[in-house]
Amino acid sequence: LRDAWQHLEKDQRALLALHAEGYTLEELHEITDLTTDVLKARLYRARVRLGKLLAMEGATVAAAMER
Amino acid sequence: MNCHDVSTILDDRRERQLTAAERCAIDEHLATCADCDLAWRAHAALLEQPIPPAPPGLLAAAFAMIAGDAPAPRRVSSRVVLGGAILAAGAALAAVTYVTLPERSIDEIAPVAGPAGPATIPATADSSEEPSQPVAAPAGGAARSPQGGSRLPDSLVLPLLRLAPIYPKAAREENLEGDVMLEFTITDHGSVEDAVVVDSTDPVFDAAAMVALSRWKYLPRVVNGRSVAQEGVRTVIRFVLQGGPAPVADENASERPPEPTRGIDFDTFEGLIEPAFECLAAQELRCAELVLDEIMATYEVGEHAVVIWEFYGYIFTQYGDYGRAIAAYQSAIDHGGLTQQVSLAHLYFERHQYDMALRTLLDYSERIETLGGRLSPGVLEFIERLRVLGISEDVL
Repeated sequence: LRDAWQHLEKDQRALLALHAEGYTLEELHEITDLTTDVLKARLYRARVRLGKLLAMEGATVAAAMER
Repeated sequence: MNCHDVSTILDDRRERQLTAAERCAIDEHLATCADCDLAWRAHAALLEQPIPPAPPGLLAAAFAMIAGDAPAPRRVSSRVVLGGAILAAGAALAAVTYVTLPERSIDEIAPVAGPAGPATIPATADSSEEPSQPVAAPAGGAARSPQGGSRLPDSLVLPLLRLAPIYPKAAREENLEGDVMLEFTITDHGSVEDAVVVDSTDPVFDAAAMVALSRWKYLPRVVNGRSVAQEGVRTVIRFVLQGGPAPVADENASERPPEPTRGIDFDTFEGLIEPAFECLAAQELRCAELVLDEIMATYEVGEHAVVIWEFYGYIFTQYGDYGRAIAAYQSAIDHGGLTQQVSLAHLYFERHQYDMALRTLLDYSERIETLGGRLSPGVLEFIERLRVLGISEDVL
């Protein structure tokens, strides 16, 4: 996760971190002034991106272990 | 079940309260939708992370980023409104930035003692660790609790007043050196209580370490405008003998000599400053400020000037008067103070002067290195966070 996290955009990192800490969409809306729809979309994109980075990481590790 | 439904479940963090039927439907969807599958995994991985603390104010920058602005100066008033949220959420960003950090070790500055003198100087590395955690672990507990109002560094707890322990005669005769780790509570008026020895290389040092620590004074942590006790604080007091007369190369030496050569001695100074701590305990900042004013006007405080200025910096920070707080910490540094650079960096950070914050920290780390010490975990973490925000030496 460490490396994947580093490759994430900063705003995605911040948003995911806040959400992971327990902030609800409503609270995030109050904090950022973004609508909940926008926040939902951004959260989803951020998760998919992080998921991809994690998958890449896993693939690299698997490849390294095969060698 | 579609992508929107899956996303909503994750947004609401409802993934652990699903019915069997829902879970089934989700699995079906995840099997056919690569994106949702990735999102699900990422969400799970994130929630597994432990949450270490962060300095307050970090989230202001995070908010600005999410909203699509560059971290720009915000009015203090807007941060005050967000206070509680910022501080509580401060832990979140750090939670994940923490995993990017390398292994960390406890602050270490080797102090030395002249062969003739009875005193050695304690090197300290305080961190508000949870009692159950090992020394090098991150300060886990402190910042998870809400700390509205506090703008002081919360991952670094440094004593304002330190009395050097007496080197035990038996240890000196046997040329024995050692460390004592103590755990204690900092009361709401900054005194040390309930100290216990957690670890010690030799019991011969325990008593001396306990006696010295009991006289130390800390600036209490402030939560929602009230000073509060802080439990589970740890420090390491180190006893080191030096073969020959050597210059004292310690963090302490430059700011808090145990035996001032001019001005007033530790006992006198302790008596003078005690009323200021009583004011703090009564939540009377202005009263504490007046006590300091009087000391400064009446006495030749000599080397204790660092302590006075640091105290001023603390009070002004609580007032929210960052300009004066910065000037006070700067005065402490001008009088040879070292650790006040960390407080100064936090203030710059609060004012969104990230470049100044980083510059101050780098200067601090250089000075620590010159003294043969290592940076504390809290400072390393702070520097790392500034880098995460995109501020590095390169842009300076």
